[in-house]
Amino acid sequence: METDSADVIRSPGTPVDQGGPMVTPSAAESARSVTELFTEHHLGLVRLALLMVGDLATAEDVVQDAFEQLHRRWRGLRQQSSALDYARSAVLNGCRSVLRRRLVARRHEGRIAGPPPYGADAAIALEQRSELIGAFGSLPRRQREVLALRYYLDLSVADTAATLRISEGAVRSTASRGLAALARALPKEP
Amino acid sequence: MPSIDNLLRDELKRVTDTVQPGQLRPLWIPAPGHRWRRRLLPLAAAAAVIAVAVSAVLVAGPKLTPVPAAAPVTAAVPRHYLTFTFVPDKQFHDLPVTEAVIRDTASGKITGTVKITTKSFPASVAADAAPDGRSFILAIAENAPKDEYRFFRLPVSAGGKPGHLTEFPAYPVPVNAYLAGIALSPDGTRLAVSFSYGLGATNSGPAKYMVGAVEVINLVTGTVRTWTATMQQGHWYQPGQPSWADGNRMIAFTWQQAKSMSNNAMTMEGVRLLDTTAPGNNLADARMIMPKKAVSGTINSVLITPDGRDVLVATSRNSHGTVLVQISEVPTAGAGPVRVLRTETARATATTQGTLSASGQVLSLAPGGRYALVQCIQFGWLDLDSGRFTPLPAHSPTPPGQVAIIYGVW
Repeated sequence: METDSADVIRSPGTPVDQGGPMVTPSAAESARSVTELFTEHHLGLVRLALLMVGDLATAEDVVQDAFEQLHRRWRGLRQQSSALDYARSAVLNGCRSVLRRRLVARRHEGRIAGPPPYGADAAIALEQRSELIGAFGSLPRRQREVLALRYYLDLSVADTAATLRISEGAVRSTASRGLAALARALPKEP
Repeated sequence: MPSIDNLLRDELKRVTDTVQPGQLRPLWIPAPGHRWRRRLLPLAAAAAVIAVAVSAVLVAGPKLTPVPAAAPVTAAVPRHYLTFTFVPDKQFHDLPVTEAVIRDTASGKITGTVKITTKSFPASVAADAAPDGRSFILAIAENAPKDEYRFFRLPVSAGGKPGHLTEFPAYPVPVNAYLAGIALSPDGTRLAVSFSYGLGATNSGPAKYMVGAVEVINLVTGTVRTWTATMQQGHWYQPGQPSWADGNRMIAFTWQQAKSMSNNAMTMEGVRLLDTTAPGNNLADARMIMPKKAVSGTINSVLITPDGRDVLVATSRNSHGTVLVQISEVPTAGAGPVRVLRTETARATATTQGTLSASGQVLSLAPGGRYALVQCIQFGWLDLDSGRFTPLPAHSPTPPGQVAIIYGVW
């Protein structure tokens, strides 16, 4: 007896397509390097993206796209030792795009009837949300990025500045404003 | 009281620690080459791609060391599955159009649909869940401007939203082939296509000669290797749905035989295993790893486990108006007990017997080989370790006759 798929397909063929491009050693090298980077940093980058976008499914997609981008541009990287910085930047850029799309969708919610961007099936959201995390989520995007890099990834001011391509002074002032906003949002001790 | 920055550090860590490696899907990176090949190559098995390069480089001198497998494989029940329905479309004068429907495993809710429009109504489609856990591979029969199969990748986001169909180049599946199934290798670089076709047909008469074939298309290099089984003493052979084992090396498929060209009744002989690295192109040389007598009842479909140790078999048999459907695990070594993982029975009438007998299927295996998407009268995920069956939500699949095939994605 045949499977269902066999019952629904019947058709013809095409000429043989022989001799496509070969894999070059440099392509293999880049695949290997990206593999190594992925092995070491995938989880951390997904967690970083989760802090930015708030749900795991989207965070995974953002990181996937960032690694695809990294692989495509590997040979064009000025310093391949800085690939992790590039990946972090790509992840944060991807998160910004997601947040922009959500903002646009929210603006049109009244006019376009449709499912919310993330339904009940959207895997894990930021679970066990505390007041601090709630306040973190309501900070402006730039402050969240700086605080996540500084206090989740424990990057130095210089590294945070390099990743976000802003000055060190801007990192310090943005972090300070973000922390102050969080402190204000926390309930006062009796 | 701890400072606000330390509080924040602890909270961010606590929240992100809810994500553990086992939850994440493996990563895929694009294969080198043309644009259409992008997104095809799983990073999890990039070692295989590198092996191609290594073999080229070894001739020249410098050595590359293979890369260890990268991504952890998720052990959770897959999140989404794919069905096909036929929907009357006003744009085509209410002719039925094939629609790929992605559903959520937990709720059965539709997360996205993609219309597959061809010159046929409805379009004929075969599919397989790609091992990247992010896409399906589709073979679509196209009748115009010329008869051919076209192969596509349908990406699915982690939230179950389908992306755009990306087409692979045309490949040599012969005219009028009867396509039994397709399967993408674990590293995503090779597509196995199983089919049979007739030769010598004339305007006034049917084919005089039948050929069974398995093709492996290397999606990285574009090369194709074909194994065929020609007629022997009037008998002809038909390979069934392929499945991969031992990485990208072995392909298992059912093996059916017909006694003559005038008698199309197929007799199931068992399951054969093809070593794609061995020389030769005779499909009949593939080793028989499970004779039909290893299980009782009619073999409906099979899938080999990734390690090649077992074959998952869906069988059915009729007895006094009752149809019994079973999913079993049969060791390929020729010894050891057959594990019956699930049994379902249903009363059948003359009109429902055929449908019920066909409702035992092993459809796809999740990466890691722990969960199988099966139909044992009802559709569901089968935990191969514990035998636990998680049925798909009651309202899906759609009514009989609407769903052609159903595959899981992770």
